[in-house]
Amino acid sequence: MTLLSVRGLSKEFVSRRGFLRHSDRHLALKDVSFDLAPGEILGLVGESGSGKTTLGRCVQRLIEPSAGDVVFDGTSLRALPSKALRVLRRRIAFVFQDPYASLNPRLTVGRIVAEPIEIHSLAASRAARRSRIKALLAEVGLPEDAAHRYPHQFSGGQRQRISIARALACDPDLIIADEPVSALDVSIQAQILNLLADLRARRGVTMLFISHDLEVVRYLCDRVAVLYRGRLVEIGATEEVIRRPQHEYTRSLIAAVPRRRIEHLPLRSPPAGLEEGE
Amino acid sequence: MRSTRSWPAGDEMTAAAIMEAGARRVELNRSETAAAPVLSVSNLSVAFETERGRVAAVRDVSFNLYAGRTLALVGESGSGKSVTSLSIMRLLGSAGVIAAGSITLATPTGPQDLLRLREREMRGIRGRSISMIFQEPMTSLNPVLTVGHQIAEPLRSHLRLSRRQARKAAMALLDRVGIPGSARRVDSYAHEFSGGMRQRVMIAIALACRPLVMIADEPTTALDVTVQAQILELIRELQRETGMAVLFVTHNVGVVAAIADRTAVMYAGELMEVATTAQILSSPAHPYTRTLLASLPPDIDSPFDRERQRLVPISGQPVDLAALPPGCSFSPRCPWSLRACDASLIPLAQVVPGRAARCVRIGDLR
Repeated sequence: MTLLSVRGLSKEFVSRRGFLRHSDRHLALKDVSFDLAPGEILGLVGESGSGKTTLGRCVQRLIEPSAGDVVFDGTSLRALPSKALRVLRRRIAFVFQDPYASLNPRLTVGRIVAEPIEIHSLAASRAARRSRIKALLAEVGLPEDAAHRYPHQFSGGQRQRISIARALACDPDLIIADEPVSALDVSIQAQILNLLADLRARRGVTMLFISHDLEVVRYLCDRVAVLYRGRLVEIGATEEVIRRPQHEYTRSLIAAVPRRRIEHLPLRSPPAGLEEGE
Repeated sequence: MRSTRSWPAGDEMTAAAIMEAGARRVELNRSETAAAPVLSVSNLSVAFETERGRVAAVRDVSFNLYAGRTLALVGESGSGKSVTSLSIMRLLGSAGVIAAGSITLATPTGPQDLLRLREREMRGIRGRSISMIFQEPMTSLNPVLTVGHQIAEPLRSHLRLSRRQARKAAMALLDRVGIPGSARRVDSYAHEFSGGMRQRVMIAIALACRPLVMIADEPTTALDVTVQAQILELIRELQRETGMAVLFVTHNVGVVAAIADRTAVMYAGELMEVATTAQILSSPAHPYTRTLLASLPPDIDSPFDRERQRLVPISGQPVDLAALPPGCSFSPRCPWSLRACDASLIPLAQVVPGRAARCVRIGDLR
């Protein structure tokens, strides 16, 4: 069974620069293909400029691909008329990296979470909408009175919970999470990662998890796809890829992760004499 | 005594001029036995005037930096690690007030309290005795000046090199920090470099006058991991060559393991624990350090079972600096907290020689 099928996806960005408006071509994605099964979390790793964010946006056609196709639950998005596309987009939700930039500061949290419900007319009545918002906020671990407050009254981790509640508002089949914990402090990162793991267990939600952090990907993702300069160079079960990377680039990526284990430490004794705490 | 190592400089005279600058510090260089700190921060407290009143960003912070050694300052946002490093450089801006403490730099003419220097005197310290590199190399570099000009600037103003000497030295420095084609690249602008290469340029500027101390504030946070590994290696190499002391500010525990001899853990403006990096990572003493390490995903080499293992987050929310608890600032989130923790401020106390923690339960938690 396949929920999402990405087939031969390419994206070329053309920018015009200079006096003669020479066009600069940049191939951000080159012939990327993979399938995503329902309930699966696929990690998309790569360094900056590897195309992982472009890929996430092409999946919902927020960016038009230059070639290839995205098939979502049997429907090809390529030639989908805009009305049908809008209906389908309801089933694909986004969580972005920066919880400070991705929430409208002038709306209460309740309004932010209500917006997708209204746009897609998902609640029969005002009361139904209110109880739905209440349930969503509880699901992501926010206090009940959060609905009446504004984003700036929350910490980064709580804001990311708001983003997740908004993403869940339409009961999506697929969540595309683009570096959702990269901007968070480490102690908060764990809370959000556990929340995402719980959502998968509870709702069976399918996720495309975009990240540059292999340790985080390893914690959350069933499979991992490695992007390098717009090409998908390796894809497989997470543990298998980390233990036995096949592609040279994957190997260098894993080797570069700083280790915390003591055997790796440069063992140098502290200088004798004055020390802190004496 | 002169250091036997030198820059692979192209020009003898320039190399000699740089060595001259380096000579100031050579007495302090890597003497293992009678180490006196190059820089001592003592009981530093910094506050900011805000709409919500005076906020204590750094409270009673003390540590020493030694020649040829790296101290990591680890903490989350708002822990005061950057404010501490900016205080050393006296770059806090008008809102920041240094309420108490001293910052003593060991100079050839004797110890100097940086907090008592006039701004004009401080300008003679910055970039010469102490230099700093930042997270964002693009915003730290001037976009309308060539990188060669920017590397030459401290050499010309501090060491009075001629234009030609400084340019040659800039090329030698570009070579040393691993930028190929220095003869050409010296005339390039910041936007022509990648992020990693820009950080190399920043390091070249920071090292130009061979400072006693380099402060690196999250220098690899904006970089990809493979580039990060290269930059960390470069800093280690340059430290071996020059014997500079490094203060490395970061939120990343993995980076700490790769670079620091000793680690100071900050929370809510206070040092919670100071120890060797190996001690911090293998047997953290303070509850904050313990819970912080426990909340991280497992090391990439460690065995891990996704079906069974869950992360253990630190409960609660980060502390509000404008509403600090009366006692231990970590107490509201601490699983081992007692009533005594909230009674009064907790001092930083010795655990074993060379190791300190700010916790009333250090004795019985071991």
